[in-house]
Formats: sequence, structure tokens, C-alpha cells
Amino acid sequence: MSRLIVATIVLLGAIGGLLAAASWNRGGDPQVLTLSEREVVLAGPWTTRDADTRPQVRIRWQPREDPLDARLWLPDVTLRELGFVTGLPAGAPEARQVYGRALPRTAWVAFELAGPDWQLMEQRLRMGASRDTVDQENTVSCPSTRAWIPMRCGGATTRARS
Amino acid sequence: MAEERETAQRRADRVRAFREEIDALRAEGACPIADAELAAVRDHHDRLLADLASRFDVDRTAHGRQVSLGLRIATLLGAGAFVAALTLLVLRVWCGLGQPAQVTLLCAAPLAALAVVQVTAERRGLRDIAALFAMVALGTAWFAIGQTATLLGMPFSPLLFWPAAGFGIAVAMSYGFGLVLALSLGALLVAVASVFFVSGGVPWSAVFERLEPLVGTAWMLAIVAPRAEPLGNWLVAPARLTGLVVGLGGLLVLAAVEGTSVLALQPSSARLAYECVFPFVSIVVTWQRLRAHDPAAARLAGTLLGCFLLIRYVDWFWDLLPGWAFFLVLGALSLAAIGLLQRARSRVEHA
Repeated sequence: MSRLIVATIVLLGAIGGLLAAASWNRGGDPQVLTLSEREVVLAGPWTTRDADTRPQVRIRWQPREDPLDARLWLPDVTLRELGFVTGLPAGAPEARQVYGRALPRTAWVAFELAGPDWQLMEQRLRMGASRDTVDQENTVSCPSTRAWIPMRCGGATTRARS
Repeated sequence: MAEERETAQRRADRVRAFREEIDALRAEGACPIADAELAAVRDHHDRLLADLASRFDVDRTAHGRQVSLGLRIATLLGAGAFVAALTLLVLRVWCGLGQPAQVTLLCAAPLAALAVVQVTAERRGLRDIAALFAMVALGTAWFAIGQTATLLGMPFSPLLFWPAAGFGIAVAMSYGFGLVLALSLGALLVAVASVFFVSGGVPWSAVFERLEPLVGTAWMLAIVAPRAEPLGNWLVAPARLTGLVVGLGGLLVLAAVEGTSVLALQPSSARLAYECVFPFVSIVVTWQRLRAHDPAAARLAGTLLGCFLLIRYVDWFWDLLPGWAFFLVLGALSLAAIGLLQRARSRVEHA
């Protein structure tokens, strides 16, 4: 028997294991979410000599990086649940050093499309409370529509503009 | 096979040393062996070397050893080129294929490389070709595993390092490919160290940002490497060297760069602690490896110690001293280092 049979089995086993895991993960009733070009854009160059020829897309989403806003959708409680240490006030002199050394944590972010948070945001927008601020954020605008797509992120909402 | 080749190479080296010494003794007129007896020994050695060269592809002369080094470099470059060619080709034709064809294509490249290894490894004079295709098999297998995960929409996980390392170790063990073993053990170190972070809910890529788990795992490998001797003498040296490269190299980074430690200390305090630890560890390793007649590991530890001293010297004195004094002191320190190393060498030789 070939000395390389073990290597062959390991390789085929690994690839087979990945296929089986994907098959298991995709089992059950599929749930379909239809996205349009407003939310999903084609990305990547296809014309260069050695480029990867696979079509790639990326999802447009709106990060909520404003510190005051972040305290609403990612409060201390959620941060502690994720494993971060949050005892030190953000304004303390040593806060930058302490929080700067914190290790990143693994967390899942769920996006919500046109759900209750969107309605809440619509209400806020109608009230005009944050319209001006929002317009200055790093959003992708689409002249044909003025709709907002709120997306749930870590238990609170983030939003993408279409 | 690798072990037999090692033994054969050592025998060939002894024959070469014996011949050189006999030639020197004859030139000095101090050779007590008669010419006829020497001729008989020489004939025997000629036949022996021819046999060893045909069976194990050993280097018979010092020039042959130098050429072998060049062959190894060419092997590495060639393997890199083949892997790049195959991966770019796969990406080029990828778009027009269905998923089964894509997976088949990904598997076909390493399997074809393994077939070439199988054919060439047991043929006389083709060992370097076998080593090259072993590297190609490793590179394309790693690409296949990573690309299949991407194809199936899976996140890049440290779990992928386990089969990648397993495949490489299996290839290396088949015919004794040292470089393939070293790279695979490197992947294994990352896989083991990532468990530390993943179990704590931290992304596995923190392995490269906070180095203690990786360094600790590497030192464990360096320490347990001699216990792998029953599996084959040949794999002890590459395993130990891999452990030392990652372990000592990681310690050097911890001692030189702030913020790379996972310890609950101020970054400057952690670096200071490692500044104290690194010279001690590297000196001990250099000394211990010199005594064990392991020149590669001793050279590695000595080189990293030199890098550390240079980094510290520049860090501490570049702003403090004028340029001429900076380099003058550096030259004087080099002289001191030469003196120390000469003393160390004579001690080792007399130990």
C-alpha cells in the first residue's frame, strides 16, 4: 500500500467533512430574503489579467459609530455579556489604555430588514429629531428613493440607507 | 527511508573525513598505513560510496553538499511557483464551473502532486523532484481546504488548521520531507494556540496579536521533539527547530514590541519582563544546543540574541549618543561578543 494513503485520506476526509457540514447547515426549510441592488452591490475587479473571476457582492450597511448613538444600541450590559470589562468610566484618564488593551470578542450580528426598528426610525425621522445628523453620516444615497432600511445589530439597530 | 538516508549520509561524511585525514597524514609523512592497504580501503570506499549514492542519493564530496543546498533553495522556489500557478489557474477558470466541478478541481491538484511524489520518491536521483512535489501537494491542499470553506460560505476557522496540519504531517512522514514537516507543525502550533482564545470567546486571529499561547505551544513542541525519536530520528531536528523558531522568535517580539502580551500587566511592564527573560533563555538555549552538537539551533538562538541586543542598543542609545560614538560602541561590543563566543567555544570543545 502506498505510503501516501494516509495523506490522501486526510485530504479527502477534510473536504468531505466540509461538504457534509455545509449540507447539514443548509438542511431544513429554506427561508428566503429578497434583496435588491439597493442593499447588495457587485464588488471586485474582473478585468485584470490574473483576477479571481468569481462574481462577488457586498452588503451595504450603515455602521453606527457615533459614541452617543452607540451607547443606545450597544450599552454596557451588552458589552459585559460579550465578555468585555466595562467598570471604568469612559472619561477616566486610564480608560484609553485599559480599553485599548482589551481583546476583541466573537459576537454574531443580526441585520433586520424593514422591521419594527425601521418603523421606530421612521417615526424619529418624521419628527425631524435627527434628520440633519443622519444626512451627514456615511450613507450611500439613492436619488430615486428615500427609504431607510434599519438593521438589527447586537440587539439594537443599525441602519442602511437606500 | 529518511532515516536510512540520514545514516547513509553520515557514513559518506565519515568516509570523506577519513580520506582527507589520510591525505593530510601522507603529506606530512606520518601515515603508518602501507600504500597497498590504503588502496584496498580506497577501493572498498569507492564501491561503498557508489552504492550509497545510487540507493540514497547522498553527497559524496563537500562540493556535492553545497550543490545540495542550492537544490533545496531551487526546490522551495519551484514549489512556490507551482502552487501560485495552480491557484491562479483555478481562480481563472472557477467562474464557469459548477460546485461539484469546483470541489473536484480543488482536490485534483494536491492528489496529482501526491501521485508525482509517489512515482519519484522511490526512484534513484529523483528525490529533489519528490521534495518539490511534496511542497506543491502541501500548498495546493491548504488552498483546497481554505477555498472549499469559502465556496461553501463558511467563515475561516482555526478548525481548518487541524486537517491542514494533519495532511502535511502525513506527507512528511511518508518519505521524510523535513520542510513539509516544519510548515505543518507551524500550522499545528497555530491550531493548538487558537484553542486558548476561542475557548474564551476571543477571535482566533488574536493568536498573532497576543503571543504567549503560541510561544508556549512552540516551547512545548521544542521540549517534546526528542520524544518523537521512535517515529524516526530524522524528524527530531525539524520539529525542535520549528519549536525554537516560533518560541524564541515570539519571545523576541514580546521583548521588543509593546502590546503583544496577553498578561494583565501594563504593556511597558510586560515588555520589561520579557526583556529580562529573553537574553537568559536565548543564552541557555545556545549553550545547551552547542553542547548537544546541534549547530542549526545554536545558530538560530545566537542570531536572535544578536537581533535582540541590537534592537535594545538602538532603542536605548540612538538618541543618547552622537552618531560616531554610537557606532564606535557598537564595534567595541562586537569585539566583546567575539571574545565571549570564542571562550564559549573553547569551553564546549573541552567539555
